[in-house]
Amino acid sequence: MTQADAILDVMKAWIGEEEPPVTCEVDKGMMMKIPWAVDDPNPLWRDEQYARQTRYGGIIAAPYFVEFLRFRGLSSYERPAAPVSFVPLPGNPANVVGGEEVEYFQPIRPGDVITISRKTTDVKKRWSKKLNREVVIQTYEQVFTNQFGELVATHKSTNVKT
Amino acid sequence: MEPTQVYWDDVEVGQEIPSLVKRPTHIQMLMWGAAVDDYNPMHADREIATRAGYHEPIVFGPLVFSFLEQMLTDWMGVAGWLKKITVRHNDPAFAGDDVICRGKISDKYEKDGEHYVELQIQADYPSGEQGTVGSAIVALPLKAHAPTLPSAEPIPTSPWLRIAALGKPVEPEV
Repeated sequence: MTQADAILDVMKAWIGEEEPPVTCEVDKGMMMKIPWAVDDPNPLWRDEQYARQTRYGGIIAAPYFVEFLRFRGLSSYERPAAPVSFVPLPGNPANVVGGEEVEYFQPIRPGDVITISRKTTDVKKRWSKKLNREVVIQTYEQVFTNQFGELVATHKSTNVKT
Repeated sequence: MEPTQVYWDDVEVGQEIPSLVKRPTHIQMLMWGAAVDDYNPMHADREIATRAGYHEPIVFGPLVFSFLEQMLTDWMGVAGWLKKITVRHNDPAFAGDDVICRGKISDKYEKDGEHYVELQIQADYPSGEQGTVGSAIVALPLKAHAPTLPSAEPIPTSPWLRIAALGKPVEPEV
């Protein structure tokens, strides 16, 4: 059995399993820290005085704030048990993001309470030309809703277990 | 700074939007990793990166993705809305690379009363021509519904990134 087969054996059970959702209260500091790290000077993300004069009436999160929420949904510091994504896999493979698809439906504002749910949608083997061996590809989907029950964003990603 | 806004009426298929050049450093990778709580060793540990087939830690794909979004939001202005974005990371970038983000309008249409443009987007860097490729859908306002635009000043960015961009301290001549 190759390492990819062994990984696939463990991960197959995850397909379609809805993980326990994580809830995140968004504060301004969190929202501002992400464009700070991206080095993005857009005032809509960080200048309250400017943002008040726009149609949003205040600062909103940069679209890539979803990346922060995504990892918030993966991290275990708020959970009683490690999420399935951090269950050790055979051979302890590294993970590389191969692709992402995000849809945005509502702006995120300070004080929003975002619920993040996540499920693995597919797991399969693929031949890696770079590594000259099989790797496992996991696709999963995360859904973000706010305190009003509105859909805020969806995020689908492809992850390579090398 | 004079506020600017792009309108659906004015854009044409085939038109390129202003490109954006970013240069992620190891310091920026630290900042991003800490900000989003991503401590994947692929981005910090040479040995693990080597085992996965790279010569050194790779830049976070989601950071390159964020650069592409920065290009789009810079261009679409405060009255635009990024509706959807899809990217595929073909090759990773490495710290110190120039990451050149580009976008070109590939379609323009009206749907359910909204006015959309579709763009082909890509990020090129030394280790990967079209290292990251994808598409985006952006809703733009019509000129007839032009909003009042507040004057916009880019706000200061991190001094840590400016320091990192200067590179290593130079030994003073004795």
